[in-house]
Amino acid sequence: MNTQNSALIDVLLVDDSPGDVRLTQEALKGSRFRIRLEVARNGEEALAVLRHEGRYANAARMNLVLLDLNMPGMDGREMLAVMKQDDALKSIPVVVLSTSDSESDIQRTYELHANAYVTKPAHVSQFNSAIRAIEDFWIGFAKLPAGSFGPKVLTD
Amino acid sequence: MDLQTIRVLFIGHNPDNAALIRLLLSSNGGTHFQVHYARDAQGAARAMQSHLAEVVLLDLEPPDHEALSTLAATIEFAGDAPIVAIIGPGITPAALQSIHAAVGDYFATPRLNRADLIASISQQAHRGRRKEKRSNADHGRTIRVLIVEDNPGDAALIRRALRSVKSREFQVSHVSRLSAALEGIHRYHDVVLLDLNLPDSQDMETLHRLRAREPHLPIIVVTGIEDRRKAVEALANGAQDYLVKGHADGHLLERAILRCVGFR
Repeated sequence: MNTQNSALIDVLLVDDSPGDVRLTQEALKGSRFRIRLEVARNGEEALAVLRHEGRYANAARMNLVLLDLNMPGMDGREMLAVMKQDDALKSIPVVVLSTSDSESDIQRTYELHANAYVTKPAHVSQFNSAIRAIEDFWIGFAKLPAGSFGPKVLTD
Repeated sequence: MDLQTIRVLFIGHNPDNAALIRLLLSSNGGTHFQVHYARDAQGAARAMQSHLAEVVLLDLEPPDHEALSTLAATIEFAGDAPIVAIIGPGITPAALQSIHAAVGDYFATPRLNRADLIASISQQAHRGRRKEKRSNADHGRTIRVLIVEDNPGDAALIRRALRSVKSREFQVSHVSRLSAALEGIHRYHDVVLLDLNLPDSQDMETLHRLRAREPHLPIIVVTGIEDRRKAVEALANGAQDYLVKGHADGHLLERAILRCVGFR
């Protein structure tokens, strides 16, 4: 295993579905990367994590956000809009992970500058493959912006 | 002797094979095989819900990664229906081993012949019926539950909870869209666990549409933790009960379901 693989990657999962959170945690447990997962149940909580507010003062700077669209309170669309207008947050890649496969949701999400849209597969085994594919691409293959790795990796 | 009918669901991405299977199973003296065809796991889950196949015939050729993930999905929604797999010649011993453990019987394509296939499917169907009879005698009637839930993880949690109930047998089907639920639901299920927020219908509209289609079907609404107000509203709108996601263990689910089924 090379050293790049062993860098700690902070991922924020924003999802109100307890089952899907658990499924994602389980899928990431078997990861070949070192992933630290933070979970937020809605948009407000997610923004608090990203901005290190309140009880998230010590939260890490996130390298990647996995975002569900339909949540009570601030939903994924609103949260995405706020994030992409915030200079401090807009460079963090956001992968939308939604059960919707409607054209309008996909279109709207990209207009809000999401970095990718993935439809959650209906079956558990395929869900795991989707999570694996996301890690492989976004963590294993894609180069993420230096800023989003926080001070430790800035010197690369 | 009566003409016996066995309902078979064939799953495979090659429609030509479906035609071949229909041909192999057609007009056989004692048994009539009713064959439904689905191209992939998703279509199969839907077909299973309206057709309630007794035996699932699964084409795993080529035996690649995709075929194995189809097998995994099939095991999930097939419930008690035995699976007969058709495998190709290029299969690895490891893949064969995992298939062997999961299915009732399997055939390799070069030796797939009519007599063996008919014998195998009939045997699996009888085995399934015996099992159902036994469990009915032991625990009362099997309760057929339909989960309408777009979050795969939440559906899996409910399945797990229902499996943990030892005193009663549940036959569980799962769809992720309201439209799929509306297609053929009323004849085949005793109770529906309904998530209100689905990609093709949100909020109380989901309940209204299902209730309009099926006035007497027991519906248990499944809501998120921050939606307790919604749950109360659902009760006022014709749901029999509600459960909060992530807070429904087997015992709670069983109690809610039994209470609802008693409503009829």
